[in-house]
Amino acid sequence: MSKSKANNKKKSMAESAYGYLFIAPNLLGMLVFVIVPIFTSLLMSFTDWDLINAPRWVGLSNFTDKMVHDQQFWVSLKNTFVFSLLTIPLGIAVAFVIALLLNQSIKGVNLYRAAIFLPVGISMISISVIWRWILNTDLGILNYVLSLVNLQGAGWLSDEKYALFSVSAISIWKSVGFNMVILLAGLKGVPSHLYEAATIDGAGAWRRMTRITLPLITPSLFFVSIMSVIGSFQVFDLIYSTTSGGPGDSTRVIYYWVYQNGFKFFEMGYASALAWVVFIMLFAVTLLQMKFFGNKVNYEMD
Amino acid sequence: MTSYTMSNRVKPKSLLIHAVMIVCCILFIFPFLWMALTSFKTPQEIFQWPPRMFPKEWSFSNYQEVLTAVPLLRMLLNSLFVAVAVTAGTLLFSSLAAYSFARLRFKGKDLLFSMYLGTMMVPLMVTLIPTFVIMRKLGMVDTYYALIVPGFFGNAFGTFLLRQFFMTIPRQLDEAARIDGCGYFGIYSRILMPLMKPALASLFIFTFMGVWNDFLWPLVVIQTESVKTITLGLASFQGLYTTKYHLLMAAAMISVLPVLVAYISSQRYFIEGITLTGLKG
Repeated sequence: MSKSKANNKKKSMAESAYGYLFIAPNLLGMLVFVIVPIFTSLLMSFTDWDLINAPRWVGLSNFTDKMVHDQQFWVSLKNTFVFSLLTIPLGIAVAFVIALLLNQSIKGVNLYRAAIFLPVGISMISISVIWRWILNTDLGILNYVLSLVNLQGAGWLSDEKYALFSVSAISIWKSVGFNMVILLAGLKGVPSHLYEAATIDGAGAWRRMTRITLPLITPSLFFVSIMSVIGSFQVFDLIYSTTSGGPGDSTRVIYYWVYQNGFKFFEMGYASALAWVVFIMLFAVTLLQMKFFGNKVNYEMD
Repeated sequence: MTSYTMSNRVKPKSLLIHAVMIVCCILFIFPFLWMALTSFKTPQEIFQWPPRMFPKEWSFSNYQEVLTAVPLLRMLLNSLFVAVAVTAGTLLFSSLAAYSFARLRFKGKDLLFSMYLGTMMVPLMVTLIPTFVIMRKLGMVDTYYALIVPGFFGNAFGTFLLRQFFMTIPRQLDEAARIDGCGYFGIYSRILMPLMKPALASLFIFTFMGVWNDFLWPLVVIQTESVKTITLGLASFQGLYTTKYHLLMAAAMISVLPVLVAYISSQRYFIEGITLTGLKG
């Protein structure tokens, strides 16, 4: 009896030892490159530091003084919100329509899906290089096509009026494929007998959509909207390689402003403070989304 | 029966769907086609108005010029090397940690796991500056180490994803293996990992693509041309040749082509991998 108890104890000790051992490398990486940086970043946000001289403790003044009076911060915040409001609803809506069309029993679905998904796998830098050429004011193919139908072209990326809309359009173009495959997988999970039953009960297309399709794909919609918010708050590569925040301040988004403060002006303290503000806002928006979707999420039925 | 009558009824509708989808496909494919066509044109043809669809003479001189100006092929190899290293490390270390989280009992496991989940919400920008400072302290800035080491030990997302998959494998398999004298590592490597192939393939594609396309981190830590990855190389090439679009398109082609070939040959795995990662994550 006591022998088996001792045996059990030995066994569970061995199990713990292996548990820690297997986790160790991953945990070490997490500690050094994620956990420690998170707390360091929080500390840094209360300092003034240029990487060369010793950091100077400035308390909350990065937030209460510097940020409040930083015109560029408010502009970049506004631009980030406009960018998000343009890209998230449209990006999801377009993807949803395409997913609905591809969920019909037609030939060539895989081919269409592959074509629309293509930009998802290509780097944002390559895509920006390509679109700068297409949207070029004087030589771009878009303005040429517009001239064929007697429309006036524009400086899509060089005019303050259009630049933010243009980068939003590029962003939607790149991410539609991702949203589409997630939503399509959601649609495929809706059991077809529900539609048949609803049709027999005399439900029209609109009722089937609002009473069956939408409620049952809420998990996919939730996931896609979370990913879209995260992506649009953190847009950087696209801005860096198309407009560098210009013309004027018209496309300067918050992430770009953090980058500039950190790695162009070497204001490490202030950049960290900005990064934390982005983090807190992102966190708040995510909580809001969870609340919004929370009581609507329905899980697949059998 | 029902599907037969339905497909008969919806004929005109499916024609309309095809029409819409073909327009969509043109919208998503044309930019890449236009890049390819432009990359073979001469500078004179670039300035021609109205623009011509196809180059008058297909010439590779843009590619020659690009490759002598910037070592893009070297940068492709750098990207490949870095992506393979980070992905291999992630698959190994995240799967070990995931197995531990899913199967083994030890003190503080729940706390550690919630810590993992918590970090997944933190944006990269928060950790970017301190991580840069750490890499500087370690003397790794501007070397391959800077590109590989931070991602090499796996990440919270990978561990979380694989844990979810480990949870779906019945525990009876572990117990049977134990009775046969299999140790914890044996259960992991010989019993469970072979069953994890679809999950590992998904994480492989997801991680590889993420590292290959990453831009902000290489931008911050790499200055030397010969260590740059392809995305960073293309961006700095664009900085030098802002408006020489015939050269820019050739450079973009070089950066896109390997991905395109990989995508076309295995697009099903790409898409399913991303979908699976998305749905479980």
